[in-house]
Amino acid sequence: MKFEPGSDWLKFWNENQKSLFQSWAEGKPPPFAVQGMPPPDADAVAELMRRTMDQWTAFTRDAWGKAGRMDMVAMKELFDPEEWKRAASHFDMGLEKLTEGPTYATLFDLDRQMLNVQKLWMDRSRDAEKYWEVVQGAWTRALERFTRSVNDPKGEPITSGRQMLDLWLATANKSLVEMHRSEEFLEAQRAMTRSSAEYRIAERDIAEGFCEVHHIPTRTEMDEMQRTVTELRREVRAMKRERENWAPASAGATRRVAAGATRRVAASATRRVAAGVTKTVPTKGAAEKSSPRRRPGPKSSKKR
Amino acid sequence: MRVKVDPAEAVKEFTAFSKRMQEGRALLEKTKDRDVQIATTPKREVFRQDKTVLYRYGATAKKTVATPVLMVYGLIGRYTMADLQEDRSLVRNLLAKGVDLYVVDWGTATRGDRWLTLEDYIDGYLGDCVDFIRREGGIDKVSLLGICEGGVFTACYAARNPKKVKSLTLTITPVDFHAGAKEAPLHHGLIGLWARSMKPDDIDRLIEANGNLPGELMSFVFSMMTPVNALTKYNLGLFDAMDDEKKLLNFLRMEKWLADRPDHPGEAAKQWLKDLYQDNLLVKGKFRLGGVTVDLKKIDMPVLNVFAEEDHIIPPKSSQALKPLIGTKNYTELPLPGGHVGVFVSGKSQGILGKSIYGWLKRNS
Repeated sequence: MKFEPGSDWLKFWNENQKSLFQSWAEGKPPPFAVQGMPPPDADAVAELMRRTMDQWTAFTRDAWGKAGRMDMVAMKELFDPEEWKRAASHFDMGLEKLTEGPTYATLFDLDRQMLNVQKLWMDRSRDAEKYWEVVQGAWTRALERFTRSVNDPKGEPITSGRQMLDLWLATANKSLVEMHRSEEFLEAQRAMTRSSAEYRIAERDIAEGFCEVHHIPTRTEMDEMQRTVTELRREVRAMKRERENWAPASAGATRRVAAGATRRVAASATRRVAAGVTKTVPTKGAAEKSSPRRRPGPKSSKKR
Repeated sequence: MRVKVDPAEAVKEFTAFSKRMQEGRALLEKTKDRDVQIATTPKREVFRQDKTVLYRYGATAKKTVATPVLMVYGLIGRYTMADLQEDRSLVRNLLAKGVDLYVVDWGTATRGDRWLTLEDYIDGYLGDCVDFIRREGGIDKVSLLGICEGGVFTACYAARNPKKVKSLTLTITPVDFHAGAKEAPLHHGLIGLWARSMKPDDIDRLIEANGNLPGELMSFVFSMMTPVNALTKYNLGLFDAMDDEKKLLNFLRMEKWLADRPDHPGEAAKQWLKDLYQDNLLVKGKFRLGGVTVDLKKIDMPVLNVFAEEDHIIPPKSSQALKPLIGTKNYTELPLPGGHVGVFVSGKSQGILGKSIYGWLKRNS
């Protein structure tokens, strides 16, 4: 057998392989023999190959069957991350939230917050029960006193329903007033007020989580903004007061300005005049001409 | 057994009760909200800043007191109490005598006002109202008339700005927030007890949760002072008033004022409850506004201190504590019969309060 370089070699190898597999499949001896070697037992080799293939087929069918299904669709799903989040465990639900929205960062925090709110609700309920227990005690004492009073033979006779009602109300009032001043009541009320506040704050935290997800400004953000506005207004007021520099009554100019302000008593105009602010910002020279700083008299405003 | 009810008398009582109920029902049915008006004295807005509005009342008589008077109510409740109805109105009584009268309305606080402090109200809004009146009238000084918490505001303002205050009238004003708590009758001073039963951080958390000190909460605390009255006023109290139109309308006007209780701005409420009710800093000379201690000794103008002898909210001793703390010898006390609100709205006090304040203003303003 002569080997030629290039494509002849490949063609030769392909033909040999084709012949070999074909002969095995047909149970025939191979069409060639390596020089110097005995020819293989073609039947034995064919049988071995067939049994091997049968066993492998049976094995894979069994294995795939146990897996439920195993086809192209199954293979795709197996390696598709989209499918991983379909599991029903809490962890995977969390993972789903993690991948789907901005709640990821608060996912486990929310669980903790919910538990905390439940605990605070229980605290609040407990404190409310304690509070009502104290209040109920006062009503019970009032009833005992009233019963004693009604049955007191030394007491003034009660001759009308209204007298009886008035006695009951006076007795109840005394018991309730005593109770309201007692340490027990004040502590119960304090605890209930505190736990109600804590519950409400925790509830707000959860509501804020919802707001964040849905692009709604939170209470905290609003509070911060309002704080900033309040502080800015405070600063503006302080600056205006410094600038206005109210003059004393003795200054005639002040009286004239005051008279002008009185005429313009409509609220908005008054507001501007009182604040020393005109709608149009004057030029530096004009501002100085009209500025109260030019009025005589001592500076009166204290810097706040 | 003390009950000696004659069955015949019981039937009579029940019959009278039924008759009164029927008459009262007819009266209630024809009474509309428009019939229950308060603060009706004509006034006009002359200055406004944020929610604070300064009103000037229309004159009803020739001016007899040179210096205008600025009436200042607190943030707990509203100024309308001083003008509840025509025949029970300090405002009308002073106007009729020839007083030039202004009043500050702080407005209704909402959550957005939670950061306002007492400095904002005293130095800021009140200060600007005083300055406006000074400028409008071309005058140096204004007389101040403070009511309850508003009395503290005016006292602090006068101490910080004595050159702008001609005279200072305080009514039912707490100065020593701990005074009279022990020796007072059982139903007096509950507000102080309530405020001191809380720890400072309880107050902080209450404000944090609500933003402000809720008006409803304060109403509840006030109602605890007269618990049975609070529980029965819409049945028994109303029943007692419902067969007399005048009495019924008086009752309803008072209820209208009570129901109009705004929230107290949060930060200011913290100062009010912690610095004053709990720590009593004003009377100790340690109360600070804007970083500066309020020195009551700087109150050098004439002072009239009006208090109610049966005041169950501000014990008389709490108001009377002012005398040794101020820097003027022109100090007058005026004890009046009645309770905290009764001094202003009871028929009995109408002839006394306005007349006394006017007489004092005439001499000192």
